[in-house]
Amino acid sequence: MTDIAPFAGFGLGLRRPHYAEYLARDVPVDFVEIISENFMVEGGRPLATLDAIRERHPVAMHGVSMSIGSAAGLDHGYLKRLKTLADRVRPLWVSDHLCWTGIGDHNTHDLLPLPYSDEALDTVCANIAVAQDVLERPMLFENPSSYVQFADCGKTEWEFLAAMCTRTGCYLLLDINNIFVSSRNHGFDAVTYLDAIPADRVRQIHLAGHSQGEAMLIDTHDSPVAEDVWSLYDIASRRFGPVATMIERDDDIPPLADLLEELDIARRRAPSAERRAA
Amino acid sequence: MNNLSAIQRRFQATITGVEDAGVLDWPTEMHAGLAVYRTAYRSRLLDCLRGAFDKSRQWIGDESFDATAAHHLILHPPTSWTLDDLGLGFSDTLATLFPDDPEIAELASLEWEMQQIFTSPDVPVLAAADFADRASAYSEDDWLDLRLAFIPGMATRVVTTDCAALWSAIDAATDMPPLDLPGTDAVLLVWRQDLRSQFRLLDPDEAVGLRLMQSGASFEQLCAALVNACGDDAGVAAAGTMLGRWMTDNLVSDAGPSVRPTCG
Repeated sequence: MTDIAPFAGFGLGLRRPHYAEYLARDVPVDFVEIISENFMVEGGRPLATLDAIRERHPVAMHGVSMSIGSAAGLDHGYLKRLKTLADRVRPLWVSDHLCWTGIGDHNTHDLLPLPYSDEALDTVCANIAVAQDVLERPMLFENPSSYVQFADCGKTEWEFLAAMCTRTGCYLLLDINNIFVSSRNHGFDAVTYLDAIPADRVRQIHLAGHSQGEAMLIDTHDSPVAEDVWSLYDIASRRFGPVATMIERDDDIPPLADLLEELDIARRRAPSAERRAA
Repeated sequence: MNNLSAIQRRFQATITGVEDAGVLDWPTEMHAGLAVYRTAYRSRLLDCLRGAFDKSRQWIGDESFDATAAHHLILHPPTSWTLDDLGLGFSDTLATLFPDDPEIAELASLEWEMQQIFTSPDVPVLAAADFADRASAYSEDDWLDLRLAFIPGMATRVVTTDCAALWSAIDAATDMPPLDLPGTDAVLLVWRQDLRSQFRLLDPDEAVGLRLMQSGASFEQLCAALVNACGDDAGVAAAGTMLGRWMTDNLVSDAGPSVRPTCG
């Protein structure tokens, strides 16, 4: 299986309120990231829009429904449709989350936490092997934000991610906000987490906003990136060097110009070799 | 069942359960987090249904809609990898809960069909001008044996209320129209044209004609049916008018004496 070549640039999540602008002008981003499932359709405007936008921008595919941690295995119908989309889009890479979304006949449509046990690692690695085989490419997996931890599992999340990469050859999409949120919710040191991540496996970074819930931080993606997350991004940037970096906004989506301004903050804070399309 | 499978089934039951008592079966330090997942599960699915059936929600009001959605999600928990499937059968739930207000379920069906056609497969449509070129060489027998292939996903459905006018009035925020329809067996057509979902109520003759041609009938059979309904000259003229409109509306993907009919 081929490696994923590093791609350093700054991008945004492609969201519906901004489609018209992407179609009308040259938006200064180095890449866009799509939610894969939004385009795993048979035809119509979504695919027509994507075809037009990908003529202007490299596209990363980011999924939410693979359920790579499911003890019941993967949905082969889903994988087949994802492969069809990947063949059409020819993306920079295909990513999903280290999580499970449901088991049995139920799909919660949430990114549910895994116990970081040896058994879960075996399951995740077996599922990744299947997914990468069907897709005929290595994948990226994103560290989730989480609101519970399972006791006595044997591994930390960062140990689990590193072992997963070693065993499967997959890469990482490191969500800095998720690391921050989970570190606050579970009381671990975010820098220790970053230090344990195999730098050569990181191909993309997500930045997003969060909210203060009743008892913990919630990964809401409905606000600008918090200053604490920017500080953690500074550390990540120094550690991982030029890596594709993206602002992820899914709710209370502001005008595109606001997100481009926020993306410029990432450009200014990143290592100079990474500053493209500014 | 291995340990991971057991954990996942138990976790899923806790966050999707109607009652929150299952949370107490987990260690105390997990209770607050489990509450986050329970809340997120419900709000995500409710938001999805609200978005998919926005006009139905406006028509019956937030409170009634949310109660219906909660009822639907208990009866039909999500099983598909795509949230787009969450609305499957929602109009049936509305029909059950609002048996005296048929426009509610019919409006929801219209919203659902418009979503389905929005992402249906792309096929080239047969433009009226291209058909005219093709038909200029037709013999009389070719015309009589003419059959149509319709675009995929095109839907026709019998309605008992003017849910089409209701949809338009809600969309335009104008006064609500009368919901009664003249006669029975009105047929609503939903299709896609230039990447936009479209709908219109068919008059009775066109409804009969369209369904006939969808079933694979020939142009001769269409003419015969319309002559029977409208008389000799008017029937043949109506058949020609329908054929032209279906092509102008981009309903037809292929036409000809040797075309294999498809119903859309």
